[in-house]
Amino acid sequence: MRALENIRRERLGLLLIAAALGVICTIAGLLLHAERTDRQVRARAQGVALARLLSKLPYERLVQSDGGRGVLHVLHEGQGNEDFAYAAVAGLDGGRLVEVAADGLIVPTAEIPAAPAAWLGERLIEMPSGPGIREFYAPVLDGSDRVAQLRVGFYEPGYALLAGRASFLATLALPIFLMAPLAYFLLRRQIETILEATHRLRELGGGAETAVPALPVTGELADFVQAFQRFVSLQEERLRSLQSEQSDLLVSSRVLSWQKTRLETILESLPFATLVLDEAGAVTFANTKVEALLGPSAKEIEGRRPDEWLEDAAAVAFLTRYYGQTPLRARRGGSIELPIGSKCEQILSIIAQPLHSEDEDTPLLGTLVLFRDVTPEALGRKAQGEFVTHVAHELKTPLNVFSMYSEALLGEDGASESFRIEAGNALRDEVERLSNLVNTLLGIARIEMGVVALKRQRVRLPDFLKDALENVSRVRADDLRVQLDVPAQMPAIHVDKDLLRVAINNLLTNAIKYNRQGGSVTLSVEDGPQEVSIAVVDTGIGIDEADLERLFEKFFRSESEGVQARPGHGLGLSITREIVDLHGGQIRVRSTPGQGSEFSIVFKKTPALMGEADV
Amino acid sequence: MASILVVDDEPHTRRILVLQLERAGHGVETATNGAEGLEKFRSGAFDVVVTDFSMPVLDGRGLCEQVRAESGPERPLLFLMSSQPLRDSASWAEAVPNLEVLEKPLSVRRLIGRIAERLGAVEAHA
Repeated sequence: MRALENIRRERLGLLLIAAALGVICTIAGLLLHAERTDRQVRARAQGVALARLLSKLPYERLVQSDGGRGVLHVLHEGQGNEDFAYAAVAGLDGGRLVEVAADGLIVPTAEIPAAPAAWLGERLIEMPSGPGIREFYAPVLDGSDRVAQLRVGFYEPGYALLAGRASFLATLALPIFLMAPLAYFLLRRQIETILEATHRLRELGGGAETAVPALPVTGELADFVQAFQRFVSLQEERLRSLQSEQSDLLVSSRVLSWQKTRLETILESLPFATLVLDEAGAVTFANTKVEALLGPSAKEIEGRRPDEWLEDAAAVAFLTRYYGQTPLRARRGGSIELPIGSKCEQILSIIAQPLHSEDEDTPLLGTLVLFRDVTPEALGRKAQGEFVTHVAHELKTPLNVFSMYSEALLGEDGASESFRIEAGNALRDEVERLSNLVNTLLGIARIEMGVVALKRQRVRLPDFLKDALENVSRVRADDLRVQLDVPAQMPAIHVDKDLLRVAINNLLTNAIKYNRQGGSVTLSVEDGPQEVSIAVVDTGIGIDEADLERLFEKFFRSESEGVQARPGHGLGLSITREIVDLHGGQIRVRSTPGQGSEFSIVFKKTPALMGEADV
Repeated sequence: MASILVVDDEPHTRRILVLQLERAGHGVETATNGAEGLEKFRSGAFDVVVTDFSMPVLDGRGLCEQVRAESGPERPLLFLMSSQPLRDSASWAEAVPNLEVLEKPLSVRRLIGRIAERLGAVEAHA
């Protein structure tokens, strides 16, 4: 790099010398040109003047008849023009009558113009060697006749440098030439500084972090260099600072990116449809469960406020209630349950938590919103509430009968024998009813608490099912037919007799309760090679397809008119399934609304069921 | 004496109410659920309706609201037998004029007394 700079520096010196020589040459050229032009002008003026002057002299004065020296000789000796070539008087035939010429010059022959209009003029005569001659000619008249032709010639001036001009030129060229090294010296001092600064800058650019040392300069450039050095130092410091900040930012960016990914993963894995709203209430994050629960995808709602994509006005009002509030009030989170859907068939739980720092004055940063479908829980709560109401009703109705009959017995009616018998029967019925209800509730409680243990006993299904059918037949309508269809011979099975009775009783009770007038109930057994299936088939109101999924849920009762018209707690099928599950069996249901239903309890012929294992 | 409609799906309750109310000198008709009770109400002229709350087809609330909507605010007097404690009576019951909620188990003697008392008050007011 240094060698290259030296070459550049020396080249500058050479350029300066060349420029000085160029200036000198230009001046010399201009001087020569001016000299030549001046000589041309003087020769023309003198030539024209001589030609005119001499042509007016009488022929005899020009040409001495005795051959003596005439006017031309006087002229030749008296003129001082160094360019004078010759003067001659030529006859009309071209022959020279008299002539004078510069030393060594032979007067060239030339045509004598014939036409009078061309008698007077000038022309350039090329010489075989040396410069050409500009000739001025005029007629020598005798009266009006031309008797001879006067010719005066001058050398065409060249670019010859005259001795007098050479000293002038040398005087002019010397200072010019001397200025070149002076300028070179001065420029070189400045260039050295600039080159040094450039070198330092290059070093900085290449990563050198050393401070820029002071440079040996003076004058205005020194100020510039000092200012530039300060600027460079500042930039260097700033660069280091920026590099440090950039490094910190890079680390922070990576940490933030990782934290963002982690946070989004957490939000994504939450068992809720999760939204994060920004400080303006627009969605900044939505996990995939939002689309499954609410419909629009995360991309569709990103950057949009809830009122732009959520139809439910109450939900929108709940989600936007934090915006525009004071920070203290906005600090409190909240939850709400809303029915949504065209028929309010879905219950949505919305939990909103405003996001803010601990500082009360900090404005709201956004809102974390969790959505969850709580329809099953809501229906469960509703069913439980209804169940409690039913239980209260079922418990208090016998008490009511007790109360009213006992009051009557204590009064005048107590004296009547027939009333006492009636009251006794009524009270016994209500006691039995109350007892059954309490047993049912206890059974539910025991099964739910998981304290029910199977007590398998050997059971002959034909006899067992016959008894079960007879028990429930007492409460059937007179026109309802009941049938038992069991094989005459089949092996006994081992089940918990009391529990299975409850299960079969529930199915039969339902088959009777939900039957139609004049319908039938069939209890049958199919003894297959792998399974034993007990089926209860009715000709009742059937079950809506939409209800089949929830049929065995606790407290579930269909909203259909046919079910609502009949009393019940929604517990029978739930208990039945629990009992079948305890036996390792399955309960299956097929139903056609308006035509009837078939419930089947299916037991696989396991060693436990067939009594072939120690149980 | 008053003309009374007793609506309850529980036969023993209906039976003892009929016996005691008739013994008190009232004319009594019965229905086994709210819908049947509404039909009976529309086809007759009753001073008092005594109804259970929990019944199939149409419950006691539906019956009371419908009866009150189809009649004036004073007649018939409505008595609703509820399994819920009185303090838990729903606000809907308070919005139905001349509806008295009785908590089970109830005393028929007391019911007869309330009927006489309320009917007397209404007649005095008239």
